[in-house]
Amino acid sequence: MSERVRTLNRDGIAAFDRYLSELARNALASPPYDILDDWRHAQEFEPEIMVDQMPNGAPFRNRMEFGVYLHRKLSVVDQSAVSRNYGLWNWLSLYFFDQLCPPGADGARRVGPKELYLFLPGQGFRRHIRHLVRSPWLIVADHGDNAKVLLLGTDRGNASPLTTRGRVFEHLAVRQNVLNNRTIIAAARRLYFDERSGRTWFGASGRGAGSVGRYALVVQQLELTYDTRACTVEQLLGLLPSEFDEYKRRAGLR
Amino acid sequence: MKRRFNSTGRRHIPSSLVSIRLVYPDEAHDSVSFDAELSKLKTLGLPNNAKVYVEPYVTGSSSIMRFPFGTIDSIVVPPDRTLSELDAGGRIVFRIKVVDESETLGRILAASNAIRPLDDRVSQDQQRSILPVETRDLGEAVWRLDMQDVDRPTLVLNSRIGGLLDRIKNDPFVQGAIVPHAVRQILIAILDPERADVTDDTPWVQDWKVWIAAMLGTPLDEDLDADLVEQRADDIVNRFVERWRFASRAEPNHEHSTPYHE
Repeated sequence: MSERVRTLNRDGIAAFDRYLSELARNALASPPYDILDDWRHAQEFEPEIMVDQMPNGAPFRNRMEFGVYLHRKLSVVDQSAVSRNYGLWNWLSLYFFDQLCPPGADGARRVGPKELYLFLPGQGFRRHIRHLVRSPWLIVADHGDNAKVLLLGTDRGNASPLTTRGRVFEHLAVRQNVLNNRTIIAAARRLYFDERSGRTWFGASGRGAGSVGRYALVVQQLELTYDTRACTVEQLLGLLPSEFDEYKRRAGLR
Repeated sequence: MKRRFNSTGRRHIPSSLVSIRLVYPDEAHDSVSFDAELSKLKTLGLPNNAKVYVEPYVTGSSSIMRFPFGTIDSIVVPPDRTLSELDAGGRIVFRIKVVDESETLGRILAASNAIRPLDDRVSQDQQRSILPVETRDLGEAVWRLDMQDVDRPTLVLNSRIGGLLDRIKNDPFVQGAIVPHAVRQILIAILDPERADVTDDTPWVQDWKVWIAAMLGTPLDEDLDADLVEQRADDIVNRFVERWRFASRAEPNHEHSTPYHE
């Protein structure tokens, strides 16, 4: 069922925060869904935007689908204006909470760190980017289809694909200079995303030579010497050392 | 003391060669813009045809923009310098790059990161301070030290606590409860030989070394062993608190006449 998007006010965010603390102690605690449309805790977002927890009649299949959905819904407003709208992201987090922190068969929820659900001032980039609702939206908004490499690495057989971020995301997205460089993310897609299977290559997120972790370190080094923001994907890939040859071969670059 | 060599050949652009100022719009709903004076880049002795780029970005955010400013010998200010794509409400800093584009792949000849713009809404004292103080909504935290992607470490106070900014300037009790701990964090970052993000090339480090030398009455010791970092930081903080006598000045009958900023 569709619902109009709102923003949690300070009391609403505090209530959600208290719930997350309670959930860490009592895994059976019920989310305070009643505050979503309670005027004391939430105000209507302008302009009117309607969202649905299951727009296709089923939970989101992966974080890419979720990010594309949010981006489409929020495209009527300026990205820079909503990016730090704390009340909006926290309202959406509570609204989608059953998919972000689903109850198990026994009703118990395995809650993660608060920054996965709560977007707050002063958290810093590394915690902000872990927010399970805002980050898929932001990455799709900034990188379009190339967001796949960051958002589709985690859904192998995961019944709750919105709950986790995956190691590819952790290596690339938590580095501010990497995430805001479109060339680096586009090149990462070429190297590590298997277009046929719709997933990152098996082993890409490991620690070995040519892995995503190594890629994140190497491209940051290259950025000291080369203007990687202005170069093409092919130029950037051409600068990578031989340890990346196997992934270049898979990408049809050698 | 750690020393690192810049193996890329890239030169650092001194802050004295650039001046960037935020320009606030008349209408609140319009975006902030900026002015940049870059003509002194010529004095770096770089190729005349090297391209100049200005990249404003928001600390703690992935939002970034990029403005071409012509070449070293012919700075061309783009007419539209509106920062419309940066996250609203974040702290804006700038990166400047001088790029050799004579070959197919641009090579960075000189750069400077996290340049703090002149801001008419921030006092000149704040802009000169080695530890500027800001207020932001920090949730339930009272304060924190901001050292990530900034041109200087910044003490951030929670804007939800009314009057805290005044108290950090005037109340020795609040000063003593917060400032020495912030200073200690900065000292450890400077002294720690394993800390790759704070090196002698980091612009603010030299300012802090001058301050430390003044505090100690002697230059900071070089080649400090990693095991001694915390002890050395504690020594310096002790000198700091003794000099400023926070506890004595916080006593009920003491006249709070000594300002925190000398």
